[in-house]
Amino acid sequence: MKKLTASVVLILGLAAAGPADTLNLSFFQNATDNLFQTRFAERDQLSNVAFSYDKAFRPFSLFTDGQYSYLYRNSEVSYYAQDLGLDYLHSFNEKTAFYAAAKAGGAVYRSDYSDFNYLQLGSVAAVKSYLTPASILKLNYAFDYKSFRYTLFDHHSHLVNLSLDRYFESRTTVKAEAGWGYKYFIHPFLLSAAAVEEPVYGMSGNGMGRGSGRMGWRGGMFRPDGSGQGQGIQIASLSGLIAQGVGDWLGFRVSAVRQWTLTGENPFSVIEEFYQVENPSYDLYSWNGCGLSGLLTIEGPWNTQLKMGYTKSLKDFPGIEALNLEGASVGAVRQDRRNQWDARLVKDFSAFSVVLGYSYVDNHSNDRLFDWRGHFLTVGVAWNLNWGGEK
Amino acid sequence: MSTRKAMALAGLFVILGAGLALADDQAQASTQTRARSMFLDQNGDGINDFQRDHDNDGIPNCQDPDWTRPEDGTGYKNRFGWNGSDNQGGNRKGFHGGQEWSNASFRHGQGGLGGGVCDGTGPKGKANRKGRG
Repeated sequence: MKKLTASVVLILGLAAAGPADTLNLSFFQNATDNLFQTRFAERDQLSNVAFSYDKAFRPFSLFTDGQYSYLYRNSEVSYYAQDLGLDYLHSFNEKTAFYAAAKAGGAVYRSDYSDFNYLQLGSVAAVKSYLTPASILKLNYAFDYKSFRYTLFDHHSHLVNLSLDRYFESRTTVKAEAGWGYKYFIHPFLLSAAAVEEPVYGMSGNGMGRGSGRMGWRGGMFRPDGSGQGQGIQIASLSGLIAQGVGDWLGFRVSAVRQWTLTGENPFSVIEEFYQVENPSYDLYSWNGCGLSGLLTIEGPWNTQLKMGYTKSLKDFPGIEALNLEGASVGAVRQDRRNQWDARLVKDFSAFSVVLGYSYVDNHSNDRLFDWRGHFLTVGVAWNLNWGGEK
Repeated sequence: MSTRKAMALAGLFVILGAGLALADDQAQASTQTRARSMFLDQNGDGINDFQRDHDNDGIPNCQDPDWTRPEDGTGYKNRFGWNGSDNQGGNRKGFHGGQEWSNASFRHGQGGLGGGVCDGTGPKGKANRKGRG
């Protein structure tokens, strides 16, 4: 609670520190009946307070983000994350512009999760060009480096995306995107070193991690045979989107993505996703498969907006063996089939926005631990404070 | 120069000036008509971006200092943010029909196509943070 108070004081201090171009403050209260997203569901609530500050020195802009998340039942997983960066925009002409950004940041977790404290360096370079008034070509490159307290997770990654958007006067949007990415774990996994260094989390005596609130319930995050040594994972993806507006107030969207693992596989023994808490075992590089998504957007009266979406995904996790509840291999790579329903209502006022969100996830997996369902509720308010007129 | 010749020359200038002014008005009207008929949907939800977030910076029009509220009584949601005093918009905002280049719009648009209600508030990811690569 002290950290929450300190965060509020920090935010108010920044707000009072002097003129800024944009300051965004938000407070969100989240609740779920399945925080750790396993078949042994555990309820919790999260309070999230965040700020985002931008100061423009054209063509540069300074930005910083900070957020503190407090978990009520699993308070030892609470965390604070902060980043600071500088970006640059150069428009060659009215059709084409170049953007670059560099940032540094990190996250600090409380005791149960402190091995995943990290420092991060990142950069982005992008070129965006209007081929016609209604066609946009964009090339984007992102570099990311993360150094964890538990050094076996240290990695750097490179991600390139090329996208083409086309808008038609019939209010139809067509987007296509191709992506390529490479993630490299910097420290080769050595079995002897890991036996000494690897933290052993796990069951707290009530079985299968139920209620333990710990990650790596099977004991150890990396594979004990050491087969995932210092490797890189290379992925490629194709995605497409078609959206159609009906009048000014109604929009439909259908999108699909297909991702392949070109080389490498996960060096972990288990992949986990937690609600609102980043887990280093799961990210864009940890899976291959496909997804299909639909979204309905309604622009309502009195500055309200309602979005309702459904996503179906099928993901394989290369290098991750599916296990039964006794911990024995079922002789297959872990495969998840997920159905997810989302709804989000936003009401904009002249100085702030109120958000209400709900999601339901039904995840089927051949690894029985990850055969789970969960409800997720979010209520929040966000302020956009601006000084100095033009951004 | 005789008075008659001077008057004829003056008349010629008036006609020429009026023609140029009319042509300029038509060009401006053409530019605004083109912008008003344009559809941009960078977040891919089927709704014209000018409807809610004209510059795609993540800040709703009604909270965005870049947004010019129309003085025609149509409220915040009137599209395009072009009012009578913004006739330079065709040059400043340029080719892409009313959207100005901004660092925030690039920063805000780092995400991929994604799925569902793809705004960072879902069950995965760290809540409420804007994508910055």
